[in-house]
Amino acid sequence: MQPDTRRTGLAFVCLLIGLGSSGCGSSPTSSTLAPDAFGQRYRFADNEIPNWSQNSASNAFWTGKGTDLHLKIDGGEMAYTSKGCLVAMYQDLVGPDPNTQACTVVAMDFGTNDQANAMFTYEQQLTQASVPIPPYDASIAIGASVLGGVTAYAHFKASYFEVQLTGYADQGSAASVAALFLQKLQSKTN
Amino acid sequence: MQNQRRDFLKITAAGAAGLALARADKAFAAWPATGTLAVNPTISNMRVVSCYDTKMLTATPTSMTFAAENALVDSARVQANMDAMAMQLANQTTADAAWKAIFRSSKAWNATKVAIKINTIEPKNQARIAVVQKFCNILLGFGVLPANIIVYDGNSTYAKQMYTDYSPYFSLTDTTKIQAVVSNLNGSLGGTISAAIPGGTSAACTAQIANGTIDILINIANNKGHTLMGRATLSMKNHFGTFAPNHDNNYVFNINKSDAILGGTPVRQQLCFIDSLIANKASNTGTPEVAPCYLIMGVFGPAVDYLTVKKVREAVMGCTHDAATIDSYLTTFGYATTDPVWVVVPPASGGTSADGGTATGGTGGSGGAGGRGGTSGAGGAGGGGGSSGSGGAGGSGGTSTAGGAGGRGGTSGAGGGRTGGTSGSAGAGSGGTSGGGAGGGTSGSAGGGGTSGAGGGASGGTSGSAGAGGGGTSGVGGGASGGTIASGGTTSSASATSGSGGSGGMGGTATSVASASGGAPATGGTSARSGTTVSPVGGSVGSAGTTGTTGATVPGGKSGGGCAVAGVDRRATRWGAMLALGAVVAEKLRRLVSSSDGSS
Repeated sequence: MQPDTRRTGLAFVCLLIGLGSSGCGSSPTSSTLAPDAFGQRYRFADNEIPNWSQNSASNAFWTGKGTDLHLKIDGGEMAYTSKGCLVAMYQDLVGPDPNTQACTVVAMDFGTNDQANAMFTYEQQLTQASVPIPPYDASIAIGASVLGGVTAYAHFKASYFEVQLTGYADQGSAASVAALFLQKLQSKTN
Repeated sequence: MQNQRRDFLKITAAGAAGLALARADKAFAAWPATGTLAVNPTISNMRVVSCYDTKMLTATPTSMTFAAENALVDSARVQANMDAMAMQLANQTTADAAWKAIFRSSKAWNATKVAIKINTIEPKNQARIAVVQKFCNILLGFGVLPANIIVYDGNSTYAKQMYTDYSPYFSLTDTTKIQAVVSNLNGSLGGTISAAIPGGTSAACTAQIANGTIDILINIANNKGHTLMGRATLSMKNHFGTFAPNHDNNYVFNINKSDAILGGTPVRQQLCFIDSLIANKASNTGTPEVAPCYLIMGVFGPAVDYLTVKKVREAVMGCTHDAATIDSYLTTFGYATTDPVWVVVPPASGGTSADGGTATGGTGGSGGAGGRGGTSGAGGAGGGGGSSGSGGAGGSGGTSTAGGAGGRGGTSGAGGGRTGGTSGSAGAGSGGTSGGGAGGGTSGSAGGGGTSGAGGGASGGTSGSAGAGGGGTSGVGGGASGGTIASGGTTSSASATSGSGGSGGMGGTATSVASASGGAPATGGTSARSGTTVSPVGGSVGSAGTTGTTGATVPGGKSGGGCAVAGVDRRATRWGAMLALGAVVAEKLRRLVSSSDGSS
């Protein structure tokens, strides 16, 4: 009987970990949503950011569990799943000049604040991100220089975000727009 | 005991099945367990050629949509650089000879099937159209049928976007577009089948590559970072999409040793190309960070990947990698890290001003790319070849004006070709003293042959007349292909003094075509098709053909004459059939011998 009891206990602990519940980590955690609910929480409605709307392509919006992330970014998912990504959303948007300005918003739930922070730190170091995203402190949000804009990385509570902006000759303008997206994402984070 | 015997029987049966399979596929040898395999008997596996040229992009991209990126690519310059790279890779003095040394088939060109693997996981960094177009045009120039050139990425995870991005540039009917097929995943390549992988495993693989239907496989990868493979993904990993993905480094190496990739006679994968005009430093997805403006190619993926990491990703882009894994790119295949040779090809010299410039190659150099015509402007003059160089790619004509003059061949070089405007006439290119003539444009006239050179071939435009290819003093006349509704070109109207006539013109859709006239009997050449833009080198020199009737008129038709097989015009049905039959029998005999010698 003893082994069975122990097994049951372990299973319960694993379940807690899998759900991102408190008690296993040292930091506050999120209550993980199902992919659809998570996606709807962070999805941008048309003009929620003025003059930005979802790309008309059929695959412009995607949600899934971390274990399904390979279906979206095959090969790229390990950077996220290895650090605890539980749920993800990708949304492609077009900007005021829809032929040139584009944005991909990535939102992910990492279960704990620490894990979201670790993901942020990893990307910051990997991409050598150093572009300020005012008004955010660099420990919360930072941008990496990319062709035609910036990719902003941020973490709020147990959630991690990327705002991939292109179509800007001026990096400062791109950073300003990235801040608008991040402020909305922050307000949607419990 | 009973179970043991049953297991043994299972193993024996599996082994027998495996042997049977192996025997059936004997012609598709994989990378050997010991030693190495020469992908190309005339080109070292270790030779990697690169070209750095910032002018391949007319500006640093800001918009990263597929169309916007491609609009910034100077296609003529990219393609001229690719020709120069091919000549260095194959150690040939003309681009035509170089590409023919690189791309080989055991079949007639019009029976050869080609697959071009691109990588579409990140829509902001996919193979640029200019690169894909160049490979298609080379193969079309050889005589490969448009329907037999398949551009694909079979990974259902992400290749859906590919159709949207690439399809508008391709058509089998619209001659102003690239004449090839964009496959919907593996749909145009027979779906997938299970293919053996060294190490005793198997995985889903693009069917016509796994079963040997595809004769030539071209691997066009992009320069990107990754969490695996030492933090880079290049040509070897690009075969995720030929094979099912499995993120294990050994799996990547093994699929690149497989029969599907390196089997066949000649070896199926004949060129690995890295389009590094734009690159991702950190990841295989996300917005590219830099525009290195490099093109890299070689016949052997591991060497191409290794040197791309060392010479471009690390030395130019400042990326860091896991050195041990990067070294294993080569050591896994039995090579040392000191083996690869990095060859730098200078960019096509001369200007490429948008309002049409003139460029001249230096001694031994390549002529510059011609200027591009404006919306209503005239195309620029093509670059003149150097003493032993190649003529430059000619200027592209404007929307409604005349194309620029074609490149002139150098003393012993090949003349450059150029493309006429949408409704304008293309200019002519002339061959050098002993060089090849230039190719004609979309609706223009072909270049004349040089003193002892070959005349160029002309491709008829949508509504224009195909031009004539003039034979040189002792050269070979060029071939002409009729346009969609154009009259067919008269080939080798300027008959060669002592040479042979050009290859037969191909009929347009609705009219008739004159076959080779003048001079000696028509040569078989590359198979010209209706409305195809010819490659920027002179017409090919085939062996004497059998349809040298002067001025004979052949009823028009899409499959009109001039599609030469082994030097014999396919209208000459008796000889053509005999040759084709002979080729088939020879291949059968070769395979029979191969399957009995125990090699694989």
